[in-house]
Amino acid sequence: MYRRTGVVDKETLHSLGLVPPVERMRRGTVAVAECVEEIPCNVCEPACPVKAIRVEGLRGRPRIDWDRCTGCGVCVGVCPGQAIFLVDLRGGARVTLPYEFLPKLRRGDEVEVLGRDGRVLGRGVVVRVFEVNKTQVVTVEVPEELYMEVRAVRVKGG
Amino acid sequence: MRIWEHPVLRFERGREVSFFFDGKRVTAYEGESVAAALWASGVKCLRAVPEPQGPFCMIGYCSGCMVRVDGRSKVRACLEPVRDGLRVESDVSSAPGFFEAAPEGGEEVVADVVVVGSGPSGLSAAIAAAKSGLSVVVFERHFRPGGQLVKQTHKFFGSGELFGGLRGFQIAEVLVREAGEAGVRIYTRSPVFGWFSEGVLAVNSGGRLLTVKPKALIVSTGAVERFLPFPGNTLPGVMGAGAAQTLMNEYGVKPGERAVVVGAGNVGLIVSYQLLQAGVEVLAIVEVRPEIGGWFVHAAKVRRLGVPILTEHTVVRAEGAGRVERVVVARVGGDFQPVEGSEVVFNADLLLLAVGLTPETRLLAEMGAKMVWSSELGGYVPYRNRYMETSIPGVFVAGDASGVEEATTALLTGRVAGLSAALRVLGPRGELVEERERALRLLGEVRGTQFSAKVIEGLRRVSVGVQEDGGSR
Repeated sequence: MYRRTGVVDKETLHSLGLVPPVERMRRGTVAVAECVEEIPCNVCEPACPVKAIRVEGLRGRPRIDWDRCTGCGVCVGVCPGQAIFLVDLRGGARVTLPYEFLPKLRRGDEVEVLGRDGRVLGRGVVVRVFEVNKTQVVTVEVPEELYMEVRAVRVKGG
Repeated sequence: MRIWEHPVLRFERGREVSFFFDGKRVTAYEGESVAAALWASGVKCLRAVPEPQGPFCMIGYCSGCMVRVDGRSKVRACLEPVRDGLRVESDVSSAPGFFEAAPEGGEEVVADVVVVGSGPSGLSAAIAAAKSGLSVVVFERHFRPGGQLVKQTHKFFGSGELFGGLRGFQIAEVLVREAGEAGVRIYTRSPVFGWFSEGVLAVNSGGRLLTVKPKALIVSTGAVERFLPFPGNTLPGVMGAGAAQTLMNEYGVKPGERAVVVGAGNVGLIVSYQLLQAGVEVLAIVEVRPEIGGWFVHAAKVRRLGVPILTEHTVVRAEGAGRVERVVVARVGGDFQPVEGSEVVFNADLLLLAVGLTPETRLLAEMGAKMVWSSELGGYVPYRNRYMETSIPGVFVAGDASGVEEATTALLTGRVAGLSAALRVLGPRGELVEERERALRLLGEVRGTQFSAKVIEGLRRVSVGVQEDGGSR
């Protein structure tokens, strides 16, 4: 279905084993790779500072060792497909995502949060930003029920 | 319409200069092409007779930007760098007899290996050949080396060795630097226009005639964007996806304000994302097939920013007075024909075609290389063996000219061709053979995905003994 729409549903992500268990997210930040096709790419694997990502050959789907993952977010910034996100459910919910638009975001900025289909789901506040080769890795505080929905942000009117 | 702030790019503009277009003064910056400077100044139509027409390809193949420059007729404005005081005029005459002046003088260039085209495959071929100790010359028709990589702002897939994770323009920078370090000489503004039976190439290097008789030749001339037939398709504002990339990513010129993109392959998806980065609204991506053609992740990037992808839709016509003002799209039936009554009108001023590429192989065809048609590879491509040698001994092909694929495969076929050229000149060398086998293995791996099935089908028909897995015997 996602090849018709460009939108992947959560069931597909779960069935491919790409989503960490909720208990793990409640323990702290962890990466979710929404990399559903076998792309000839393994940029994330050597970039991970704790060697938590394995890509079989050059073109397997990334497998993340969620116990090893520290949620640093480097993979979010390097992934050429912008397909890796972080989720953190330690009190409230935070989603970390890649952002390559203007205005550049800063801690404290209020943003609109968008779903995989571009729908505006609500508002969020930027709590952390760092940059990897011009890609901003942005952590936003989002309404708790949206941690598996929010995958983009934009500045209202931006 | 210049872009002064961009999330990824920094435009380093040269000195301000001014030239004249049909008597009116146009301000520009050194390093820009005449076509880009004109577009930035709001001139979209370079020829109003018989129909308003604008640039389509921006890389020197179409005739949409042909102008008269300082009296010289049929000059492509996209390949002409701006200079102070240049007199540019719209070129109304389509009568024959106004061709570019023949190059003057004559100088012989000496080189072991000549590479035609400085894109990813050409530069990687040149680097491989030069590192083996040969003298290598690259001829590039544009005034800047790097081919189409220079306008790619997204990070590339791949592994570290294939520059994975770097942005396209960063890969171009690395390749140009490595080529320089390896001693490769790159001649820009130097189209190769002829090949003579004695094995001599003729080059028009900025108006001077150069001749060269290499021991091995690598043709890496890339590919050209395809056109689509529909009413209004020559209106200024209808252009190839790559042309928009040239404007916004190479020169920092906004191609339009509101765009419709035709084709949801990787090029259409990526250009849509880049349009958003340049501050252009993307009203829709239309795709005639029932499925998105490109990688899902590229589609996901634009979908989550609210860009609709209309599958089973096509462009019906472009409308407007002298430029695109509206784009009409319609749903298609099972026969790919528009369904009556399903038209939707978009108020767009930019219509980008991302409907595939065709290998640019005219030089090889002229040289008499055996050509084979492969729809999977985009058109006529030279017959070759696994080492990228064509039917003419000592003449090699690399990159999209050998079949339209990705930049990664272009880098690898370039490396294979460069090593093959070196082996031809130097004779058998174990370490070069080994390096070439390694490149061939990587190539097989890169081509191992579901999307390469078609390419492999094509390769089987145009190569001597290619196996199912995309490697070859």
